[in-house]
Amino acid sequence: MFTFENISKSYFRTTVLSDINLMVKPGMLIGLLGPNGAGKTSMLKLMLRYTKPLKGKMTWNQKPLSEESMKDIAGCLDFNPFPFWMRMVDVKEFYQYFFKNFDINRYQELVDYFKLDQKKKIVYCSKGTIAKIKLLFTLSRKAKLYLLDEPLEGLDIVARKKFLDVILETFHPECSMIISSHYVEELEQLFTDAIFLNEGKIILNANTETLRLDKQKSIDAIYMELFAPCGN
Amino acid sequence: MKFDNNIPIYWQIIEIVKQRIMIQELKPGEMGPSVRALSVELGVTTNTIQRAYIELVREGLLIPYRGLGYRITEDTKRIDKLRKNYSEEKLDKLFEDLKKIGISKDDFHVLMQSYLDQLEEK
Repeated sequence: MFTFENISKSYFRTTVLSDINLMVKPGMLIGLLGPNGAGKTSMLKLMLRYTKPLKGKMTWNQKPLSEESMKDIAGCLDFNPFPFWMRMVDVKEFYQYFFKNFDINRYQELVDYFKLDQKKKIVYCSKGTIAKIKLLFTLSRKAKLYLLDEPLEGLDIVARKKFLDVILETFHPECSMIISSHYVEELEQLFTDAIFLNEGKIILNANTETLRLDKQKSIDAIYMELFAPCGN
Repeated sequence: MKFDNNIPIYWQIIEIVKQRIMIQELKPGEMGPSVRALSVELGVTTNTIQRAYIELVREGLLIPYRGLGYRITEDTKRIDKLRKNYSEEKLDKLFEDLKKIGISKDDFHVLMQSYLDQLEEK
């Protein structure tokens, strides 16, 4: 279980997250939703320890978040993390060396499924292909918590459908997943929970089925209701 | 599978499973699809399937077998009742719609009779 306790984060004088409290339990597949600049990527960056919070505490399985926790947490952010000279085969070796939970069979399965050329330098690949490669490496790790930042960005509709299938195959009740995305309508049937983030604050955090029951609306419609008046 | 996202998805899964039981795609006494298999087939998480299955167990249509999965009830009376409820719901809906355009009970009766007669002629 991952927790945020009163987490705040700012860059220079700009507050990007204020007083975030959150519990991510096994079996949760959370949609992290909000307009541009709401703080979604900042939250995921903190969870992956790319940056440190200004205030508050994060824990993983009741222990403060540390290097040790990163064995269980796999994530990919919205930029190309691979050095310019690397091909997929190089990244594969790197992952095999650094991540004990890297599942080589699963990796191979996904390479075949997405029909990727492992010998091509990743920087020369298209935006969509890089997006696939990032996902593929992240989901090839047998992690307990997966963090995916805008995973559908740049993918065509067929690839998006394939990706949804891969997510479902990877997800199991003992793990958790957080997906930030603007493709609310396409993803909402996957989400067990939805977190709506605006201006660095969680404005709504609830089980998606409960929300549908209470509001008799889709998550997409609730999103529109919450954010359309903001002028985004 | 595309769901209506305005209503809880597990409700819709309950309906799908019930329909499969009614059309005998899932036969009495057979093992039902595993939570995992149905999750991948329908494109929702196992939690949602689990939630639907719990409800189906409560209604007595599925019998849980620890660690093995779920069996479709062998109680054919229960399945007949399911079929009856389903038909009644459809008729309710139909009659409600017809009432709105001024069809009375008697009109409805006449309509149904002539509709069935026409079907036989075909």
